[in-house]
Amino acid sequence: MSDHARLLVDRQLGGAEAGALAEQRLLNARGAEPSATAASDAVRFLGLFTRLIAVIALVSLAVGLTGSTHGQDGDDRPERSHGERADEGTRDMPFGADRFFVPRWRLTNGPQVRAAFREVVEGAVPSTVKVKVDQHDEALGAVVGVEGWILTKASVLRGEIACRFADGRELPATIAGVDKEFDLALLKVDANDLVPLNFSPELPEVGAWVATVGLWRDPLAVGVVSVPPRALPHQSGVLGVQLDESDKPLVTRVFPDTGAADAGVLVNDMIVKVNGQATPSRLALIRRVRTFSPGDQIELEILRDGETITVTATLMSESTALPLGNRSAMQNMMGGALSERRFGFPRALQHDTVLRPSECGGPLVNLDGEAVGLNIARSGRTESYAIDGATVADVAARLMAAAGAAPTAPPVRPMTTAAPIVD
Amino acid sequence: MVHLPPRYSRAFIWSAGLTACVLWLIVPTVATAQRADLPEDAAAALAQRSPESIEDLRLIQDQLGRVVKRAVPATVGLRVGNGMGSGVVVNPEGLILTAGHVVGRAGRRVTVIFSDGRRLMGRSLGADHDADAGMVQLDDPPADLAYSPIAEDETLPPGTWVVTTGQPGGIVADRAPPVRLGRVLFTGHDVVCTDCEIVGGDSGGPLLNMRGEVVGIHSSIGPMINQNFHVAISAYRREWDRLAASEVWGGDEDRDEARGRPLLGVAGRTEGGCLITQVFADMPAERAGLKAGDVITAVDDNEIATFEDLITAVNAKSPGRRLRLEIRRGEEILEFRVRLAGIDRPLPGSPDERRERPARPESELAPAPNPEDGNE
Repeated sequence: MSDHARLLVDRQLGGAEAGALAEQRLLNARGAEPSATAASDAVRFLGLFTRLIAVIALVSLAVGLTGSTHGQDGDDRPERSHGERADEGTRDMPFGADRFFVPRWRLTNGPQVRAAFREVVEGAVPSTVKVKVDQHDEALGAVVGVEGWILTKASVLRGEIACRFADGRELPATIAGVDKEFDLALLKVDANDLVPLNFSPELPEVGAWVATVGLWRDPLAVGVVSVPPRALPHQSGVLGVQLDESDKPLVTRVFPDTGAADAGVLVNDMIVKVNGQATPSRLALIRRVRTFSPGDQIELEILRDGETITVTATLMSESTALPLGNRSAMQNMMGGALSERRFGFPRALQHDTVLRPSECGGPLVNLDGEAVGLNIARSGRTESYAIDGATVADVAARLMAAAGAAPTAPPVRPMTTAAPIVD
Repeated sequence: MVHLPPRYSRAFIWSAGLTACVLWLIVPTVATAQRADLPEDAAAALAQRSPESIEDLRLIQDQLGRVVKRAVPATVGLRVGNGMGSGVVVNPEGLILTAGHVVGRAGRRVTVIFSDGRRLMGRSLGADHDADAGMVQLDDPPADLAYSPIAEDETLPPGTWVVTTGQPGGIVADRAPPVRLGRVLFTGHDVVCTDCEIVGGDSGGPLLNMRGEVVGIHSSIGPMINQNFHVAISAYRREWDRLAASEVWGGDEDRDEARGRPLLGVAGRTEGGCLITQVFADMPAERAGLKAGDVITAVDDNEIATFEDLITAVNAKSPGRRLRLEIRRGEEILEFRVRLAGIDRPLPGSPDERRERPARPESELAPAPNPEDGNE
């Protein structure tokens, strides 16, 4: 960029950002690296500079008095926030110290509240798996068939897949089917003694508790239903290149840390095909890429120095690729990572559970312990999405039939009332 | 009952009391149905340090259901100029509480969008930019107006269960205001901090107690998920008369200037650090005393090593905010204080300006705005 282009005047606003313009007061940080400004923002906001030193002293005193109580409940989750360090039990914080270290019992998602859900999730834990991709935890999954059938989030599956069960087993898995629309994949592991989950056709009401089941006795996280199921429009995937202004699909710039850069796309490459379909012009290429979603892998055929090569690139979402360009996106990323594919589901319910992207793909249960949904995405600071139970059961049945699974165990619980299945 | 700020005169109390009686007579069901019943067993479950059984959870859930039924219809989206915020109707006369930064100043036209899609017009009243409190009045409040009364009891001990609604990301077609449940983490002067997650567009929306009464208004967030700040209802109650009389005060600058995007007014590049190559006339950097050739080494104690660092640091601030710049000028280390200006339109030659030209070069990085990302 030229000096002039760097004139410090602009966030690169898209039209989409207008919604956040009224939000000047919202303290901004640095997108994905929020911790640097955490303390200073809180302090500045509250006008507590003068008390800072005293409070830090008090906090160390409190920690000294109560000791460290991390992980006593066997929960191996790392810290979620600045606020969970100090007091677990009966002792409260000295005056003012709670601004920096909130006692965990106060948190909606703290260990004490989650412990109250122990019986709620106990039925679903044996049917929940951790999905590992190249040994990294990338998602959770839900067992939908005795003979090794597991449903999970499709777009995170790029590599060697294994499923880890609550009983400690870890089995390699293959992809037996994918529903692109809902971003669901059917996995197959070599087992014949799994405990399938019965997805409930009941739609939880707005305000109903929902618990995200993990492999441990307490839920990973809890929240409430925020919005009934609705269609979430497609969000275009971003490749991360700038194209020549002529009509050719010629790359003039590759943005760092994007799918294009990771795939090794270079300046002066001519991208002539995407997934086998010709992209003869700049516009054709742009249109073609926009039909894909963030998280999709696309195969690019490239003309480079007279040779044709093929690379595979993973599309990102606009805000991941350019988080500073969009204040709304930046605020949504304050507070934790988001799923790459997080929009474009034909039907999903919204809840307020704070999830990590790797905690999506597994069962969501109501207070009766019924699986009312499958978490599909962490989509913003205030929102997680789950595919509702009836839809999950439907997709699972379809994928299993296509994969040749024995149709003996329908993964949907038989209706006990005369109410129609809502779809 | 009406909720009276302490400064109300006796005469006003009388007239307000009469009005309330009259309204109570005319629309008894509406006027009495706004506050959610709180059965004793639910109150007991909510008062616990943490729920201890599924039964406790169920009582909380049922209570939340009662609150939601009343709070969602009273929650509104507010369009003020180009901005979108939220608000909550707090009385049958159509008074809406919102955040000061949503309205900015008095007398602005406000489009009020209800959860059922209905749109009504209103006008901004006063704003306290110190506390970030604001008010809007509906022009013609309908007879069946839903509202959430403000809380009589302002105390919010840590751990109090609270409910959030609002319009995060602006109005989204076919989406009612999302409901979020959380707890009070701590309170400060005019501020409540909760773990009810809020985000841009929620500003001005209500924080409610488990009786469905307004105890706070969404104002700002910090980088952590548990840093959600709300203006305490006490800030409104204390200054009710001034706000209702369209008085605007506080803040450290003219709010109009603070609209738009942050502007420092320099150009530069990364060369031996963050080198400033140009300081534009009559812009904040020049007014503060920066000169071409200066190297910016820190912004508010955060180290700046490259020009990109500076862009990041400035973009993270709002217009009107003061920054402390540490500058290396030759052998000297200098400190400048600068207040960022705001601009609504890109300057000529900037990347934005080029993007907005009619024949703008499309790139993969600038796909069409997604309705899900922003507002309508």
